[in-house]
Amino acid sequence: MFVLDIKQMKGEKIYNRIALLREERGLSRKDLADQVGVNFQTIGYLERGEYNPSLDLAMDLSAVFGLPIDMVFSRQPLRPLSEELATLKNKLT
Amino acid sequence: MTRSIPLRLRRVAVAVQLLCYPIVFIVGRWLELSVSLSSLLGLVAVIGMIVYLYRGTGFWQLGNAPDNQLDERQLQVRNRVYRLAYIGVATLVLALLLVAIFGFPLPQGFDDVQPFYWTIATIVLTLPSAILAWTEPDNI
Repeated sequence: MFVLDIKQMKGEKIYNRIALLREERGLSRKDLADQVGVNFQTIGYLERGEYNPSLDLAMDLSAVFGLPIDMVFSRQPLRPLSEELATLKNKLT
Repeated sequence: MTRSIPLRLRRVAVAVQLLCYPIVFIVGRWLELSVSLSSLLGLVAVIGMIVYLYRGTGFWQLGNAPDNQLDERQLQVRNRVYRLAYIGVATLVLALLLVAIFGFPLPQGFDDVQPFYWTIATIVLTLPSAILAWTEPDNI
């Protein structure tokens, strides 16, 4: 089927936690889109992994969530945040 | 974007939009309407399809808005669509040139040129938005 594949245009897939973090903070797609200056549909494409953001947009999104960029985006499938935090805690202790 | 049309229905609408002028014109002539009336009905059909397919769906805006009104994903999509539209238009022009070079009869005279002109004009003017409507996935 002939559909424009933005993932192909941008290379390897980048996984993200945007949907989870957005819902956790009670933001709509429109609210988040307004905060980072994109169309609300672009947030939908990002959440479904159908579009890889530019570094600029990725940094803006991470700043909105107040998290380091590697907690929001990853080349590998992301584990639940609780697991990630437990691993971090173990490393620190 | 205030309303959305499912992808399958959109593709049918795009095909209808691109072909409705010549079809309505031919049907008009078959019903023995005048050239001008057939042409007018064809243009009304095209405008109707454009309003249905592009008004309120965002495809016209995405296909024609200045760069500063689009975000990074929309710009990428549009750049790709313009490239495809350029290939489509270039192919159309080359095909017409080949027809002219190899001596096939091109339409001549106002009555013949009018439907030919409007068919190509409506296709060329709406091609970027038509490709967008054809290719953009449903946004859930």
